[in-house]
Amino acid sequence: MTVVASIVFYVAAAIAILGGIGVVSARSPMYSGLSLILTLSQLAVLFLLLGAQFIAAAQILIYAGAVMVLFLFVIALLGVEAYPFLGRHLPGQRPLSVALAAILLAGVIFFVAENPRAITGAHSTVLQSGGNVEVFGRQLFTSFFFPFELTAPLLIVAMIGAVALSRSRRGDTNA
Amino acid sequence: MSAWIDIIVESVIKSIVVILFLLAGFGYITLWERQILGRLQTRYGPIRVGPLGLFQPLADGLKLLLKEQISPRNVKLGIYLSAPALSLFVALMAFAIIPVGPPIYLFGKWRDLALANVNIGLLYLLAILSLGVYGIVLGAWSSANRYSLLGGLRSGAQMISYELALGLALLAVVLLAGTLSPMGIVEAQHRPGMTWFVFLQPIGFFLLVVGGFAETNRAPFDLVEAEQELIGGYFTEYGGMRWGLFMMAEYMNMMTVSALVATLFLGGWVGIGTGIIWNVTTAPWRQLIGVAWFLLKMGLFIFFYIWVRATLPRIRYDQLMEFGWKILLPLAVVNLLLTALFVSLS
Repeated sequence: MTVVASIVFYVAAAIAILGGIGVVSARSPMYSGLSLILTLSQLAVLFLLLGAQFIAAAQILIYAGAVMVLFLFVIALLGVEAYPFLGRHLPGQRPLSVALAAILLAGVIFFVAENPRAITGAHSTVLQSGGNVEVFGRQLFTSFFFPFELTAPLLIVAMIGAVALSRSRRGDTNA
Repeated sequence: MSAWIDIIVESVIKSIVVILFLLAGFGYITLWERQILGRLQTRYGPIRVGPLGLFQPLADGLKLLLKEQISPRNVKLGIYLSAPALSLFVALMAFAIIPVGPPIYLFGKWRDLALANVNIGLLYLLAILSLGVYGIVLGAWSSANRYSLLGGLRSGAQMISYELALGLALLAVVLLAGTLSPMGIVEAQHRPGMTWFVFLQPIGFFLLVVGGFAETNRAPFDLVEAEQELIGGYFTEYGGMRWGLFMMAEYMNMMTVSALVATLFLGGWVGIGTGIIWNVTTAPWRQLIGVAWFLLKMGLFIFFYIWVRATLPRIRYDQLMEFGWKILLPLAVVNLLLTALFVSLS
């Protein structure tokens, strides 16, 4: 089991990293988007390895299935390929992004070194309790109830924002 | 280690059976569809190739394989070639969790008649169905054809819109059954005090049927490939077996949705002569009756698909969006709330 699991892990992780490189290096936004889908789907495999089937399914369903479809939709509809701003960068974007990525990597390494079981720790408990949807649901509605409810106003704010933005712009063109 | 080999052999055999079943089903559903459409329009349909036209799918397949493969200039070749394969891949994957019969006792072990019996079954199915749109959108985009692109965009918008109502309809079923596993849902329909969910969840049934038509891009929701306006929609630039793969994916999705309806709402494999509780004493042939019942229910629903295609005209795009967001989605939410109320009270 562990041998098979490690093989699957390394393959999935390698593809995920390749996808990540593809996201930032692809010249066409369409290929960036496709690479992102690749990465997201491989993350779902990693979740499966951790015994988090629900999260894996949700990852595919929401990120790969819904969010990225909308991304590709917009890219295809706008024909972003032709836009001139693509080559341009913010001032100091490259060094800044390298620095931020280094900080993020250092944080992850520090976290794992400090607490090696933190990533795989919940694995056995979830598996032992039988169903993982049940465990997830119970956690969501007890320990994490407050942050869970907080996402509701967050989403509503985002929706109102989107409507307000599109409204005001339409008003401008009419006037 | 032998347990591992057992699992692998079992999975491989099941996969081959499922794939062959879906391929044969594809061929003969196309024949069946053309013959039924013919009868419904008072003509014969294809009956000349072989007895009763039974060799027609073989002739069609051969024709598609032998056709010259043309790739238009300006297509994004990699994506253009992989889009039909992606569609088919997703369609094949979706069927994996459908239980076609009760567990069978074979070679010293109970074996599920589903490729995978996972406890997140329905979520898996929703996730896979939601990936189905990629083959279409990518094929459309990479074709470098405006008609294709329009068809692909319509499809993307349509599938995302109807997925919501579909998902909420399935959630109500899950609430009622108390499990996400399709096998568990079949069992739940035959617990004392329960009956087929088509009677307990008529709104959910309606939502799944309508949503299923939309997700598979079948008439009356086939404006993705509306030939009068879009030539062929997303597959305008595809020919031969590449086009054939898109068709296969569509018909396999139809089979999956029909199987889903049979499993979730029509009691799955249970029927006269199968018994409800299976145990070691049950002879294997009784389990095969279960498979026959399942195929019958699935076939009835496929017939319904074809019947609807012959009956209803295609709806307009604005009607499609209005129907999805203003009627189906609120209906699904109300249905979910009512079901939750019912479950918590009983």
